[in-house]
Amino acid sequence: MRRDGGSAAVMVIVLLPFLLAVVTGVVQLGTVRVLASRVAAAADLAALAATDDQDQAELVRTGMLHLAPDATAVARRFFALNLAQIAEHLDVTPEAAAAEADVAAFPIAPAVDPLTGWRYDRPTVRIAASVPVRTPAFGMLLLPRTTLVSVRAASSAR
Amino acid sequence: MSRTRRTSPFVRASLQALLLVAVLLGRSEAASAWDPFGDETADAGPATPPDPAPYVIPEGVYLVTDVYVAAVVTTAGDTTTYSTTTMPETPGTYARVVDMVGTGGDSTFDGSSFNGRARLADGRAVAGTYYEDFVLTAGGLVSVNVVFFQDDSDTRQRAAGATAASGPEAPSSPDVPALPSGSSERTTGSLEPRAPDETPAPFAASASVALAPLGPSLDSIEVLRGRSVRLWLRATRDGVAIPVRTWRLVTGSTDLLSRREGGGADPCDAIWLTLPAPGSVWTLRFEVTSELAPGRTLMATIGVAVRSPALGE
Repeated sequence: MRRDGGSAAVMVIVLLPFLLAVVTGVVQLGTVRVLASRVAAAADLAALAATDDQDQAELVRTGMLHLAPDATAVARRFFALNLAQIAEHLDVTPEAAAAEADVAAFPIAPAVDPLTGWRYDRPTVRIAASVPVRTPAFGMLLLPRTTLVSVRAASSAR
Repeated sequence: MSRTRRTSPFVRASLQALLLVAVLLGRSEAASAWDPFGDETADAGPATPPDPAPYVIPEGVYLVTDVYVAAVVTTAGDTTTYSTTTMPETPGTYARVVDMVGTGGDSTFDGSSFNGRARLADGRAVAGTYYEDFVLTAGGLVSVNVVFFQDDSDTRQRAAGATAASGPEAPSSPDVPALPSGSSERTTGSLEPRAPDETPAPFAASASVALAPLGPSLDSIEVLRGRSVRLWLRATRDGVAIPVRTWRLVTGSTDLLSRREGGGADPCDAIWLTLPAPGSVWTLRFEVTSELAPGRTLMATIGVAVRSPALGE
């Protein structure tokens, strides 16, 4: 009867890099998913903050809620502030990511968003952003070292 | 041989004990229980002024339960009737009769009433009653205006050309005393029915809610949940803004409210934390009074839709 102990050791040595690559890829993929959730949360909260900033003068004049004139700027600013929590995982600065974001305000409802096709029945602030996050493990696997995380968020007072 | 009387040591000791007790009793003072708060300075708290003596409404002054609405002139055939319409309302003011005049009679209050006194076609003033209105203040009753309730009629005689002015009828309101019958007098001559526009026109008054002291009146508003909103009560007479004297929240629901009543310079700050049922709004109803709308309690209603920022899609 032949002994196969040496064969198993060879197999492990041969397959170890592959196993390590698989494990690394899985861990990095999980990290990306977590980062994507945090970027999406940053966009959601920024849109909510912009909606919460209403035009007081218009409210006094009409009694109805109106988006503040600087709603898009508020949304962009809060998006950058929220991204700062994960700044070390971003390939750009939070301010740069927020500046690149497509932020739009739809003060008059109903309206249809030309970018997303969404229909808004209330004055809405929308953020669409693609944020590059670092994926160094993918780089070790000869994959791109950065991954674009695309998020869209819309908020209205309802 | 005299015999010296000697007291025994027992008696002497007893006397000394009694003397000691008497001295102690004589020097004693009443003992009180220990007062744990005895060393604290007495503080009776803020002095509460005595309740003021209740104000007694003078005789002849009564609480108004029917308020003046308009002076009305109607013509039916040859008869023109001058009457006054009222509406049942209790604005909290008081009134008294200050003069009752017959047709053509003069009164010291002519020209002092805010609604004037109409005249018949022959130029004589109509019969009626002058009332003085009061508001009750801390200092007593304060006169605010004089109103004339006209109550007269003319009948033109076709054949003889004589016209009779009948005596005024008693107003239906128990708060409005009846004029004495026969206070008017017969007259002769041709009388033409007076046009309705020759009587003082009633004014239209209304109240509303705004979000600024000089802001536009609003029937409904949207507010963000948890955001403080400042409501200002407004009043208008014939479309012209007039100062608000008092306001009071009659019905309505808020989670936080700065005050339920106030003066014209006092806003009502409200915060809603509770969202109404889907498709419904909170409704606030205020009572408003104004010096320039005497005898009126104006109602202001506003619907409040509570919103909250929410995510879409």
